[in-house]
Amino acid sequence: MNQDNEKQKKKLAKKEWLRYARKPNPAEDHPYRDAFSRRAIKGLQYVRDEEDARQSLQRLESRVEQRVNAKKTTPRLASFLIKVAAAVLLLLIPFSIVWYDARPVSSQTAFERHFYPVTSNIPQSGPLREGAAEAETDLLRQAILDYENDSFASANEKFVQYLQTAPADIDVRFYYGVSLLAEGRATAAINQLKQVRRQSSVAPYRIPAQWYLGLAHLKLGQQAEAIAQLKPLANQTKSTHYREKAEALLLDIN
Amino acid sequence: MNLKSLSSRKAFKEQSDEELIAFYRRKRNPRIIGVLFNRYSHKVLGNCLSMLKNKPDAEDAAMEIFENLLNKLDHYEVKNFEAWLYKVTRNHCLKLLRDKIDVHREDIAEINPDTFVELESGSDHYIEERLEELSDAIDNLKKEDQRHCIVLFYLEQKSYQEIAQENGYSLNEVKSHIQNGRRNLRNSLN
Repeated sequence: MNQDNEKQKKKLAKKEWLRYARKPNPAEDHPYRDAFSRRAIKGLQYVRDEEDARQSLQRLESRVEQRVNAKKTTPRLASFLIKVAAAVLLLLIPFSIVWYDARPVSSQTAFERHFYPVTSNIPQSGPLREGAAEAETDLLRQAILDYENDSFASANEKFVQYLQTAPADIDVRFYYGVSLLAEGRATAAINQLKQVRRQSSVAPYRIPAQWYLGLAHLKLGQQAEAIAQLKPLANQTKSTHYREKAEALLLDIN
Repeated sequence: MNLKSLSSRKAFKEQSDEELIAFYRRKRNPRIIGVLFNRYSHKVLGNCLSMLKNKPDAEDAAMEIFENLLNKLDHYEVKNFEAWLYKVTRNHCLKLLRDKIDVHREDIAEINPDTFVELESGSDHYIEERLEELSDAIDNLKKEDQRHCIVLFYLEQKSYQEIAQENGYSLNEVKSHIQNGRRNLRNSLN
């Protein structure tokens, strides 16, 4: 009893949270009373086991670490030393370019180097979809305009609305997937692009969808999954635009 | 507080939440918020999992929450960081949950008319309560298959066909799990 009271006062530590993932019904058997801890334990029913929870947490913390290091501020002395080092490096660049190009880069760097949203081939004027209501046509036209103007968040709102009325429109779903990725919503993009790839075994979007799926996995730091998507593209017998792109990307990360 | 003593990561770890926030406001160094966030990353992730019910969405949401902290801590006076972080996490997840569930608002009307009314009216306060009730009711579904199919259908927007193909159910089993799950949700919410 005293132990329970102690736990109620004690904060839910990481190790303990992970330990609850071993239990079949983690939410039913714990002494924590605060809502933050209770719900955190409840969430463990959506992981397979302790190891799965640990990996998920590590992925999150390494993303935080990457983000934090990307924006690191430097004190004056460090800043001065960096400038000196940069000058020295500048002198060395001609000698190091060949060596550097052959070095593998991080998933995030590879993503930034290789991702750009494909230009839409859906016409912006005229009847976009046969039989579509005027409101839908207008909505789609606005979505494509936003997409072309790099206003991806706004485009995505409109794509969602449009796809509610035309869920089978595979062309639009493809651009929605790319647009989500451009907005940084890689998981949502994977959802959409998987649907496109599944539904277009022979249609023109199968290969592009696979390319962007590979990029979306890279964005999430899931390099193995990205390679699984990109390798088949690089191994195509026919020389295509996407084969070249996949080969270049795989060279960067391998 | 001695600012020099905070120049190493080890020193960060010895500071209270509130000291770190004050230090961040002066130095604008995101590393400080990284240390602060990682004290509670398991709780944020666990809460996101509980609301969104799948790992990739939960990890993305937790990362978005961290990004938002960098700006929010500039503008909000935070007295109890952990309590405030819970509120920020809850609000962010509810917003994402609302977007996901919105697609199925007609079905939601059948499960729980109150939630549907709030979705239609757009009243933020009540919709949050209703969504949290709905999320909890899904968590509490006793049968694993029903919960799994309900999550895939309502939150991950999978079709019956996709759920069957990807999870080894027959189409009839998927229909039955969703139908029974929906009935159980209705019973627990009304």
